[in-house]
Amino acid sequence: MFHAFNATGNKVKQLNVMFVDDDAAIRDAAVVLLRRRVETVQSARSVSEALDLLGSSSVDVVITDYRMPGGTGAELARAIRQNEHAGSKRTTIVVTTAYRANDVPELEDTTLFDAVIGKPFAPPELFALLESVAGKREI
Amino acid sequence: MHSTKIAYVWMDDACRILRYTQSIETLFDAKGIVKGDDARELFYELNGMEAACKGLGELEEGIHLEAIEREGRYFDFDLFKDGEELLLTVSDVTDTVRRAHELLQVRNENALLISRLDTRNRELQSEIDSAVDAVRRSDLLLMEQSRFAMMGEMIANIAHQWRQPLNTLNLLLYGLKDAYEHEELDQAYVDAFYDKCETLIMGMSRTIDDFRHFFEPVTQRESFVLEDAVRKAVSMLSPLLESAGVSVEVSISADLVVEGFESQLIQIFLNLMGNSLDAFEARSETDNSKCITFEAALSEGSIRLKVRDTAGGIDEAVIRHVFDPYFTTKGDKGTGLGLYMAKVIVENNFYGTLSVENGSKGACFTLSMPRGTK
Repeated sequence: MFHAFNATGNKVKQLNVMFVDDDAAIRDAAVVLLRRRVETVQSARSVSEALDLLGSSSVDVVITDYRMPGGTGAELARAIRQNEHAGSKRTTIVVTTAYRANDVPELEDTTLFDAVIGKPFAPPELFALLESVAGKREI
Repeated sequence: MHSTKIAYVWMDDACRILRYTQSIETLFDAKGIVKGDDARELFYELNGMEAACKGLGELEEGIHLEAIEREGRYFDFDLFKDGEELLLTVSDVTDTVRRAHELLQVRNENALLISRLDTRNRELQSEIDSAVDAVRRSDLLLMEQSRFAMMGEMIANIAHQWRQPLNTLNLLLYGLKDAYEHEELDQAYVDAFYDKCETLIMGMSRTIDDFRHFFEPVTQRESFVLEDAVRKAVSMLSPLLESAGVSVEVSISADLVVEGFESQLIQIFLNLMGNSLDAFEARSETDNSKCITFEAALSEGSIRLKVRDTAGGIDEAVIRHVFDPYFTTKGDKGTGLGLYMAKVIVENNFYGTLSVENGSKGACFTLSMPRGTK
């Protein structure tokens, strides 16, 4: 079990993760936690900043807040999906939100989001998600 | 039928009849009156004739005696001095009395009608009073409903505003445990951790203060600075405004004071900004210049506050209905009470007016109210 965990752990380590949230305190706290588990963690505070970074690097998992000034997490997801070509690797997009899905129907759109995590979220929930992504990934 | 209307009887001072006109027989249907008969017996209904005879003295104008009724007819008596004799004039006043009775009856009927009208008026007045009361009660009920709706929105706001710091606190707490496990925990980490947590908790406490003030019942009218009320409302909605990318510009002179209930005016501003936020969200196009402006000017002792947004305006087909109770464009998400209550509050508690028009970029609400004194 220990070895199996380590194997997944190593896979997690190799993921490219981007954390998008306009709240600096959340961003900083999350990045600290992610950096202990993932080698490459980028952070952005808006949709446009995230898209700029994505233009110059490849990212496996995008964890984005839903409501942000200048554009929502759904707008970011839509832009990412538009750039994905047939047969290319699908980016895992996780949306974090203080809203409930029945307030914002867009959150239930599985073509945009692979997972929805309610705020406040427990970090282990996020780590489990990363492990599941890493587990499925051919590296 | 008695065609004769008047008769004369002459008497001595002991009321004995000396002579008379024949018409007395016709009037009283009294045959065989003999000289020396006592007039008091003939006119037995007439009280006080003797006293009148004695009291007549040298009066020239005579004495009017009370009228009598005999067999449905009415007679009037006047007593005069005629030399040594007394002259009693008897007039049949039946027609006059009947007319008077008729008049009296009409008057009584009128009085009855008037009293009925009066009763009806009082009933109507009381119906009006209770209708006014019902309207007032329903206004109070609406006021309560809208206050509850607003409270619900505010609680949702607090919940939403707290989710963010709670989320951060949760991450920080996990981070503490995580740092320990990764052997990164030292004094500097703990100090920074504590500072971050304290800042978050103080922020959450401020949110409570903002909203608590809003919910405090105010029974006394107060003077307050208009700009403060606007800033409080903006502060309460700031997380929502920021996350929606809406900037707020306030251009109000700090010496503008209004009189009324500050929390009610804040309620109106929250409602107007809430509507703007909904309108911005409903627009599909990406807009980088979302803005709400509060601008006040003084005109003839009145404060004119304009609240504008850049959310595209209100459909001209419905704009005249936006102040109607239960009118909403938001389906199940709206109560249709916000703007109705805003108008009621402005008119009743601020003695002002609230109107709306479409500007070049969006809706423009104008709130006019008297300037207060500090």
